[in-house]
Amino acid sequence: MVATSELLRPTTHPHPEVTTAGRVGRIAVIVAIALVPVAVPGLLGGNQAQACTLAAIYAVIGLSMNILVGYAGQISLGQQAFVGVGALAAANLAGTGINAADPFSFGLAFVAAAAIGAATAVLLGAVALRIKGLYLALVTLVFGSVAADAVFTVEGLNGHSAGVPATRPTALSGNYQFYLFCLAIVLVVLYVDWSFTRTKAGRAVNALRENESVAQAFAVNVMGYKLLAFSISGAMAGLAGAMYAFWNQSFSDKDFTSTAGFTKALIFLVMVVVGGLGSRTGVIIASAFFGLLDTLLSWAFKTAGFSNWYIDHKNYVPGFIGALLLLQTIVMNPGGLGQVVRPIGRWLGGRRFSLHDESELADVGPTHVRA
Amino acid sequence: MSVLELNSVSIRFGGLQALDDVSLKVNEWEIVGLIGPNGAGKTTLFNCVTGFYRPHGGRVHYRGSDVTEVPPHRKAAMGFGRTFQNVGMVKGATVLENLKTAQHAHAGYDALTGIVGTQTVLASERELTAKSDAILDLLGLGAVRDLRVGGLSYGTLKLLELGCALATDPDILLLDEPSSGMGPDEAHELGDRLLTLRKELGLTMLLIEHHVPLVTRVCDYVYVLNFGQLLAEGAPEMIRNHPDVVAAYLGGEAPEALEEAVQ
Repeated sequence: MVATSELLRPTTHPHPEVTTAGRVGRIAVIVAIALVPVAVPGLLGGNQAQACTLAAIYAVIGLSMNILVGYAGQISLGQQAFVGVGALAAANLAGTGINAADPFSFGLAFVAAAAIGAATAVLLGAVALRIKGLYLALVTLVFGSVAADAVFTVEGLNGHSAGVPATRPTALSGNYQFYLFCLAIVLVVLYVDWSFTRTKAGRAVNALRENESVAQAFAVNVMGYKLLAFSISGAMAGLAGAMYAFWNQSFSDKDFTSTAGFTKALIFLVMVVVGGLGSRTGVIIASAFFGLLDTLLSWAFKTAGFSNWYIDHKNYVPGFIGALLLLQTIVMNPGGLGQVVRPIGRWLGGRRFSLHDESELADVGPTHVRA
Repeated sequence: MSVLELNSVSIRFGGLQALDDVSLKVNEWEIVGLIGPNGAGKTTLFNCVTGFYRPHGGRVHYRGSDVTEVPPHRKAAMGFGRTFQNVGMVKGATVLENLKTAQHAHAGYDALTGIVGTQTVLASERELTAKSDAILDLLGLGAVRDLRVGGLSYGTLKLLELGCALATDPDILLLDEPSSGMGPDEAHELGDRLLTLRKELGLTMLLIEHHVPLVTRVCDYVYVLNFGQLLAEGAPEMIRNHPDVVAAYLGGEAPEALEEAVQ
């Protein structure tokens, strides 16, 4: 039996053995790609490392959005609320005042932020289970802004509107040290994302995104797995919130309420679409870009001599660029950045460099892009 | 004891009585056919049996226990394998991924352990892949293993869908028009396959089918639905010549027209 199946298997593109030179080349590229995020912020120094940390935080937020929107197909415009409660919980639990957090309460703050992010997301998920598409987007939008305005404006929790201090432990007080810590969290989140997609939960969520009836016929508990997607996404977003609080060394409710909160919700959605729904590589690149956007723009306008103009219009320019990128993606490149980097990923995986995916018999559209 | 038994099942959609007091029975090892004109309520009946619809009246029994209220994903885990009229597969995933998804209830680990990624998970994943390959071998479809479902031909998809239903490890298979999109030769081959499956896997089957030669060849018993009601039941040969059935398929005047033609 096995022999027949081997004969039947498509050997039209037999994977060629990777030569030694090819292997060395691939390893060199992988090492180079891995070194950039570790070394560059260190070489740039303090303030730039701080900007890069925001990119790492956005990468975690992007991955959390990707689980919900990319894998489970549940549009969320309330992600900033999960990030916000994570930040709020972390800052309040670490209870640092002006002193540096001790390592124990620092760790606890992260665990608690993830837990409360997950709990908030499950709460929203339970409400949103029976609605789809546009209505779901609206419910998450309303939930995000109402919950944010209701919870974050509680005087006892937001430090009487003056912000709750969240001072880092001494070992991480340096910006580059804290950046490396955040990079480690990105790796943990990336591992969770990767093992999610290659095991039964990922397959179940993938099936229910495309067709709930088929998923049910395959014994998938659709509601249960939607809630699982909400909770994992919420946990990641909460974690990002804790990172954000310690990045800023303070929780400020103004970052997550009204216009600032709404702008964040939109940017978070734009970054997964621009990155490519379902593509973790694309999402990380796009999220990091949006995390760095403010710094990049400040630098660019300053160099061009328009820094005052930029400061006056700071709130609108990143959103405008996001909108342009969104249009470009939807019209010209629906698979997002993930689709662009996919050939590189295949090459690194040991296959010949080709723009065409061998599993693609015909163009089925961007129902799922994975890089 | 019967594997599946429906006792006067009824369901209504607004003013339309989609199923009206339908009772039927499928015994162990039987292949039972369900035929009837378009809109007769065949697929609705499948949806009532598999839990996608909840009947407004009547009960569904599986091996003696009442399963009327059991939701579809739990029915699938209990042993109800089903296919859909217009191909129920995940189009963006590869054939192998679909077969592994279909084994969801028997993956051997729970979702959170999967995310941690222990050795047990890896071993279970290898088993799932091996079982998927075995199913592909059984259907002679090893060649499409790593291709995306979205681009495959309709006939191949109907066969693969049967493979996915098998991957759910069913006790009773409910097949919704398995031969659609197939030519007469392929349909004949499908008949052989269904008989082999019953023999080798000990399966019980209920199938909706329009291809009469296939029904007569594989089915032990046939139920005929028309406008939501049972019109006739019996052995396939008997059903074929039943005047009401002929009338339902060809229009009310058919028997007379036939007689005239003979004269």
